[in-house]
Amino acid sequence: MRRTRKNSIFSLMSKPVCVVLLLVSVFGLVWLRSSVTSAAYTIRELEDKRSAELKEMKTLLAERSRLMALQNIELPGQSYSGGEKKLVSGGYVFPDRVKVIHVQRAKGTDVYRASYQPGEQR
Amino acid sequence: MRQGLNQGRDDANRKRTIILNTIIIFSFVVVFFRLADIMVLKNKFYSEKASSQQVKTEDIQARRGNIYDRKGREVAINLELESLYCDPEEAHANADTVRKLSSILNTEPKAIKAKLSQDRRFVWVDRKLPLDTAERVRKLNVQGFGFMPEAKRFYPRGTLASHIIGAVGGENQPLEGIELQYDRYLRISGGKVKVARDASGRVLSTGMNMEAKGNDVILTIDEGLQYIVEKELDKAMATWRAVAATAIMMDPFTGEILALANRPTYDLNDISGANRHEVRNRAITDIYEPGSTFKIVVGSAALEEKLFPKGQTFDCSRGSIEVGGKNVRDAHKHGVLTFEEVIQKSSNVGSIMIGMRLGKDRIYEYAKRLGFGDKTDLDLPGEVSGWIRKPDRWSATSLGAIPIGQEVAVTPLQVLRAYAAIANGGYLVQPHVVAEIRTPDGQPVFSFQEGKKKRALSERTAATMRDILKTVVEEGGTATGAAIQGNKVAGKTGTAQLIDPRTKRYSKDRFIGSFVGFVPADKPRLAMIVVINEPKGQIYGGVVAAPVFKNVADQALSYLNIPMDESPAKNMLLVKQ
Repeated sequence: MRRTRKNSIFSLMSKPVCVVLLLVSVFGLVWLRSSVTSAAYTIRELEDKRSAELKEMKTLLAERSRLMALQNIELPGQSYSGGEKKLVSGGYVFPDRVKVIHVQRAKGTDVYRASYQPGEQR
Repeated sequence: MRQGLNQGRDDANRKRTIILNTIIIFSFVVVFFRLADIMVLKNKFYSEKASSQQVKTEDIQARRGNIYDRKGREVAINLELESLYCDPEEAHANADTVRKLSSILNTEPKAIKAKLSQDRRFVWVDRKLPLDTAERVRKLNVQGFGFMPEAKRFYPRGTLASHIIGAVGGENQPLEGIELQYDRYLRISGGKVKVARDASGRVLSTGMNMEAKGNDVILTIDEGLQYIVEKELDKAMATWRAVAATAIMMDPFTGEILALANRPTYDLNDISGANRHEVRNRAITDIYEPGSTFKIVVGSAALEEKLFPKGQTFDCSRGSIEVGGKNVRDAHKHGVLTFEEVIQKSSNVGSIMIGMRLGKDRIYEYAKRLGFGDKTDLDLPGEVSGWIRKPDRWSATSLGAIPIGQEVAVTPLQVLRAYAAIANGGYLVQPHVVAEIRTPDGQPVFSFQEGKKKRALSERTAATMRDILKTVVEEGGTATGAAIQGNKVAGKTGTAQLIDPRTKRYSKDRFIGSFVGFVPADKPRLAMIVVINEPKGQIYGGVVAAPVFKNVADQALSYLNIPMDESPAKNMLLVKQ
């Protein structure tokens, strides 16, 4: 069998290439492992940040919940006139049922029309 | 000669090679034995040492579940705080640092010094600090000090619904209310997890959720209705300078407690500052003689047993009746009354006449049917059953006392449930305050299931009683103060004397005034009881309690958008095609 020039160059190059590939693989694996570890550290740092943000969010939610309590909404609206406590605008005022207007939804998709009395001419 | 010279060099090189090889092999042998020593013989020692350096145990933070009202508003949540500890052996805090710490923590410097001088490796300096305070301490960077996250239960509504929600102690241990009753659902155990760390103490992510949260509890209480009830109860307490007061609002068909309040009350965020008097849930733990509100027992029993023909009258013109040698009087002389008028005018004489006709066995039977003398099984701790003696233990005077609500002990909730039976057509409902329990991700764990309905009265009797109770609130009745514009109210007043602890007899100046009823009378949506304990100036339930009912019902109907009884077309904005 005749050894060609091409075959001889390939066999000459194959060993160093294999060695280089082996080295690259070894260092690649080391690099990959260290990258994964450093990513795990970074994730943990982000988790800690998230945890801190969640803590703050819980505090803010608690504050919002406290402020939204009905007694806090109504109190700013109270005023005293003539020794009598009255509710003024700004606070929570329960609707006067005598003046409550009930609206009945009409069937279908037609345009709604309103009347204060049934059958009232408009 | 040249060949001899080369031969000598080769020998020297070979020797060097042999020596070098020997050294290398020896070195490898040494390394091998050392490795064998480390990896095989001392494996346990080094692995433990490595593990203590590289692995850290962290706590999974356990948090109680939240409590919400029926519309999802938070009534009990957790605040994330930090607790400051120190290792007195490691701590190096000079006088200046201690002064700064005491200023931030708002404590005396000597208190901090005392903690630093303890002969222990772990001492709490201050617990459950707000995050901003903890941050200020952290910036001081004091050696030997550290922080641990801790949760503090927070009740955003303060005193609102305190007797339902209950509270937890300093270590988050349940003390009262829902917190105690449903602790097994709200609480969760945390556990520990091992995490890897590097030489500088940085920790690797575990990918695990480091917080475990208990189940959330959804109440039947509505914050809006609860607020209305508490606001009006406060007004009544101030007006009548009462010792205590209770109000409960319930859906008469489902038994859902919509609001429950007692006075005096306490701040849930400061339970340590509350006394037993304030913490007690009087709605279910305190028994009292119901007085005239109990007259529905003889009224319903007589109707159910069809004892009296329509138009039957009772001669109450004497204004008193003698039973077992005891004279029982009416508040005013009424004359001849019909059956309906006996209830409307709350005649003691007429009620005793009805009771005598019924007999003690039937009175007892109907009292038990309406739930008196038994717990309602409300899902809150501390409920008492009250009592009504068996007929064989009644005294000669009992038949003149029990029909008018004496010689029996009831809780406000029992009375309300009995009236709810009249409102809903005769069924005894199961009162409850918890509608549902959900996992943190929203999966239902428990939801209230109504058992088989227990019929206490026939539909006909309930309807007749509803009509009679409507007359109580109308002109000529005892509770005109409970009437509201636009909707019929049905109910009954009660005025009961308290026992004087000194004389062991009925007191002449200590009373309980109450009103219990439902609205709208024909299509009841709300059943409510108001009990005012020891009012000053006035004693009658129709004067002290009925107006509270009126004020609460008026606002509650608006809040719930319940229409007025009259024609829907009137005063209504009609929208049509």
